[in-house]
Amino acid sequence: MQNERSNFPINIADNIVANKILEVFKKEFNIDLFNLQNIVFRRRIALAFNILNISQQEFIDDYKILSGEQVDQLVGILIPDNNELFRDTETWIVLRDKILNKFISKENVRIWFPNITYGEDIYSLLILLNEFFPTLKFQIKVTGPSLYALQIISNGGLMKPKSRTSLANYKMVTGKGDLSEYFKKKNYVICFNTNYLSAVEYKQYKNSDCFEDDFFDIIMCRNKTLILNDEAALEFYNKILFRTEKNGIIVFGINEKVDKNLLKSFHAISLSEKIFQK
Amino acid sequence: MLKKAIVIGGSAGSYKIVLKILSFLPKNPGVPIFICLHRLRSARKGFAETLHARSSYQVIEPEDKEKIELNKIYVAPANYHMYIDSNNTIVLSVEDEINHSRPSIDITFQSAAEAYGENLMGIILSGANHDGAFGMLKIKEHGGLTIVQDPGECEISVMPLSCIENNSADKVQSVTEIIHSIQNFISIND
Repeated sequence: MQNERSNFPINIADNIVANKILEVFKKEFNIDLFNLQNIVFRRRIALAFNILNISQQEFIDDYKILSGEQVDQLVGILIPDNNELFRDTETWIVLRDKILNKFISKENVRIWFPNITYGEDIYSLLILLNEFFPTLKFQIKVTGPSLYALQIISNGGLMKPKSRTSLANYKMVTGKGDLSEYFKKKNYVICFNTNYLSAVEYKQYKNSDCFEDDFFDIIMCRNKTLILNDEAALEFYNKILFRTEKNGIIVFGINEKVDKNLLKSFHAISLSEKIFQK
Repeated sequence: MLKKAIVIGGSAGSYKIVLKILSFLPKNPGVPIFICLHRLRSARKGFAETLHARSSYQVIEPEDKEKIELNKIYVAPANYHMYIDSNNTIVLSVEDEINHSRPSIDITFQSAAEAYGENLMGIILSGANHDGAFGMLKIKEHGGLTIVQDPGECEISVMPLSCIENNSADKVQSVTEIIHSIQNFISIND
């Protein structure tokens, strides 16, 4: 994921390959991808095969050319995620000013990041907590479909180690201009400082058993339904909403469609930033 | 395949051109228009509203999975890629930048080409990188009509020149000519 290299033009995979992937993943690996949005999925397939240096025809002829690790990498690539720190700064400002302070006296704030393939949103929240709420006690659970992606995140892997956008976003949210305390060099690569990841647990899920049994005070699920079709998005919403504690917070992506019927038991903290409270 | 549509892409120097184009569009022309302009990620408010004020169309920044309607102008939201899906839906994505841009014109144009085929008009305006050149090639390959703004008229000509260089431009036109082409395209009955 760190070397996505999506700056080159890429053709969209045809439906034959897309259907083959869905079929193989379901049958052989028990991974249910059938609910991914068609056009984005087909482009991600083409990109994934390019990165893994495998031809789509080879895959159709004999899908067993993929190793277990390549399957895992493929799953991670198929699902894009927020790739800059403090993406949509207004959301983080609302979290800073209107939400996190409500949890200061709570003994243990339970936070969940479902369906994760990149770490940037997790790191952003950890930075925000460290900057403005250093006494807040919390536990973060991260779930995602790709073990490869989760391992990268647990090692502080960044999509863009020297992102000017991330720095600019950080300045807007914190008023500070130096991110260096949050990063370190590991094997010549800049990573998020893993000292800040001590309160984070990671769990891979396969097939549709992808949700924790716990209930959460804050669920950070920004832009998770973009890759899902309507049916899968509805299923996702139902599970997410169910797993929210009373007075808990859900944070969606700014241009993400949120079914209004599902939010009957929620009120909007910020409608423009799509932040809701149960 | 969907019915007619128009896709417009641009970057530096294109916003005022888009304003001019929109001000000359007829009422209820019966096609959707998709606009993908490079914009600051933080510039979320005011962009679509300003375009809306200069047009008789409704101009919106779509949400993910929004159904496409005729007589609406869809502007790619800041920091999202905007795909046009052949099931008559807009699909947003947070994928990595393409040509250092998100939204990327290539993504919108390429997906629109698949969805609309020969019933699509693609227009590239002034801009400082080659985003859109690949997308225009896809529009042309699918039988659509491709027009670029005359580089001599552009504030920055890199974008239309990229389309001329990869042979994806059917026509090179001034802004006035582009407006006439759009009016003709809209007026042709299905």
